[in-house]
Amino acid sequence: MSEESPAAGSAGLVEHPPALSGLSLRIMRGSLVRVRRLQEELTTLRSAYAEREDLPGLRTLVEGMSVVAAEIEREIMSESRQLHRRLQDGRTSAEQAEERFRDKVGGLVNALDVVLPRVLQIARTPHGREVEALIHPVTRLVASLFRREVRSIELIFEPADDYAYQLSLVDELMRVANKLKPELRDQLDDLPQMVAISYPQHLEAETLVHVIIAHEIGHTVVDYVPKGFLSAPIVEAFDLAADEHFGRLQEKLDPELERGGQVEAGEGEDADEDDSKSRTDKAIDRLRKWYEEFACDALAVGMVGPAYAFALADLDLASNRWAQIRGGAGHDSHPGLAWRLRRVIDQARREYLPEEREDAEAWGAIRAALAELEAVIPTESDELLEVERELLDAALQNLDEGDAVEKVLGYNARYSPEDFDVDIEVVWEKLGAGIPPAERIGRRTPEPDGSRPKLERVPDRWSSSMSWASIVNGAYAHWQSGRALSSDSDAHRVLPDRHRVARDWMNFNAYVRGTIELANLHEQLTAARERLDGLNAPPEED
Amino acid sequence: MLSGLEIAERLLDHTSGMAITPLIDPGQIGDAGIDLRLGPDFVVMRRATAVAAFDPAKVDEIGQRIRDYQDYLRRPPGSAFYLHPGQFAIARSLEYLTLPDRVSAQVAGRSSWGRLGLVIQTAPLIQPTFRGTITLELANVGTVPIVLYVGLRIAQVMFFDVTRDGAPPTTAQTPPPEGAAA
Repeated sequence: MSEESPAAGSAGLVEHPPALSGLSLRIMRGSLVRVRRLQEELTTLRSAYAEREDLPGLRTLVEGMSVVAAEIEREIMSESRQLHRRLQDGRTSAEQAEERFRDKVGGLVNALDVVLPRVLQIARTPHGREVEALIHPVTRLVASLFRREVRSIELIFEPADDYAYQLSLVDELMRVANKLKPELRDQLDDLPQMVAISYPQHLEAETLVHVIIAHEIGHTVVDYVPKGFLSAPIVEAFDLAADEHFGRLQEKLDPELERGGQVEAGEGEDADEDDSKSRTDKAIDRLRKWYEEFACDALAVGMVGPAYAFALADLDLASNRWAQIRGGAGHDSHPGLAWRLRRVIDQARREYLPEEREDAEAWGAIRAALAELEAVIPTESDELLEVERELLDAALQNLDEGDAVEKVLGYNARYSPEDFDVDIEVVWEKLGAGIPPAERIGRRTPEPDGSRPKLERVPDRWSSSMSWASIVNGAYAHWQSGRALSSDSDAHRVLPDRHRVARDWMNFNAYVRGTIELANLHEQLTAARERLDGLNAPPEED
Repeated sequence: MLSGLEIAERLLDHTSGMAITPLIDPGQIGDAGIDLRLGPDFVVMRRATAVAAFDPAKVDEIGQRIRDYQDYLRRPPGSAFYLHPGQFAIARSLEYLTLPDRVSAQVAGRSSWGRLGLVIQTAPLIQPTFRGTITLELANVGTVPIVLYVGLRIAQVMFFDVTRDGAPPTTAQTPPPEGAAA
């Protein structure tokens, strides 16, 4: 080996690399190869994303990984030199020196092997064009949610198998950085928090179904509890119920399981107190997971309104997850879809559509669509023991009655019923008129004779951009009332027209996607208007 | 031709069937037309290497050949797009237009850009009942690169009442606003 040390230049000397042997040499070579390969890939990614200003999260991730990789390389070389010196001066036994080296460098390699595959997978896979429209509104929503806790947030949309989330990729890098010098932690701390939201790649163009992302954002809030108080109202609602029901759960769990054939006869009686407590703790953990799914549904409705109910149904309607069977796949983590949908519909109606209104068409259309959806939900229910159901019911009651959703979302992340009320009719009317509902324009009431009111001059203030939530709610209302179909007959329900109904849905999703893009452009360019208009050079003469 | 005030009145009247959205700034409404802004999507033509020629006689091939010859680009709002001398690119207006069945429109470049060598539009007439963004065929026929910014006012559109019965109202599926070639 004849590499020049990074420090060689300043001293004007060439420091020869350490002459290691045996396992230490193997570890040094293996770790350097890993780091070099990583650095090469990061260089390629940095170059590929250099012009992709639509990928701020991925670019930050690559930068963060590059900083960590450079530091790991420096650390490996430094440790190698130290080992070499120790072996040379003989003050430490060779065994001790090599053990120290293996601990240090081997630990780094292990951390790399554990953390990097997942982070690299995210870094390698930029989102497709169809989800781009959602990045701006969803990033804004997440930033509003975490406004009190996090300085800045960048969102990464990751094409994957299913909807999922990963809260902080900086924390992942920290797992490696913890084994390096403290200053590196400060450097990583300065990076924006990166939140990865995964979505099913095969559903990339399903813009309306992507409303489900609101549920994943809910998970990021619930998971954030160790670092702040953001999710406290949600967590406390369950903890309170769990404390109240622990004794009863412990007392009843074994007999009920025994009756249900889950515990063999006699086992319940013989089980000692520790086993019973452990079973109770496990039951509570499982119920907490169910509760969190319900809580994230509630947060999602609070962020995007009734559209979440339709998206949830569209995503999972054809699945076999209507009710969970004890011991079946998913029973440990998710309640059945039927229960979730009933709660979501109830919340949407209670918060956004509390009464019948005859003067509002879109309002009526959404109420009707919710009722139609409610009517088709199967009546079967999840397999839960009575004591488990009691605990869950109590926790959900605490959630609903304690205004936990309001407290967590605050003013900025909440989709207010007032905005819903005003916007939904505008979106409905515009979609009916073939106009993308990207902005709210001040309406003008016709003159008493029905004629168009005359303007003295063009108004100074024209419009504001329409929110993502309003667009998707109005769009779902429009679609479900059959107004987006290319045929106004029932022909779309019969088999020969199946191609048309699929095509209509795909076209409508593209239309909604384009509308969200226009609304984003409206918002972003309104902010940049003065700068842009200053760029209207050369001077206008026409 | 509609005056600026008449255009504004129709845009504010949701029953008029006429829309230009989003209108970032009412200052875009001039005395007799509206300024259009440059949208974020571009189709850039590659230098001819694999494609020898577009031959309309080869119906089966021409679609694929056009795709082989084009690159799609999306730029964020406010970012720069360089149009080099001799380069041709397809862009679209930021605004989505909806015209009723008695109004047509005409797109024109702005002379300030024209004097720098920027040609903006080769198919300027917009028929009644049109719905979509306006395709802009950008060409730099000058000798110096031109920097354009997404969101910049780049063209203008004028509106005309169609005095006799125009085209019948469309029943077709409304085209989506996304995509460069609306």
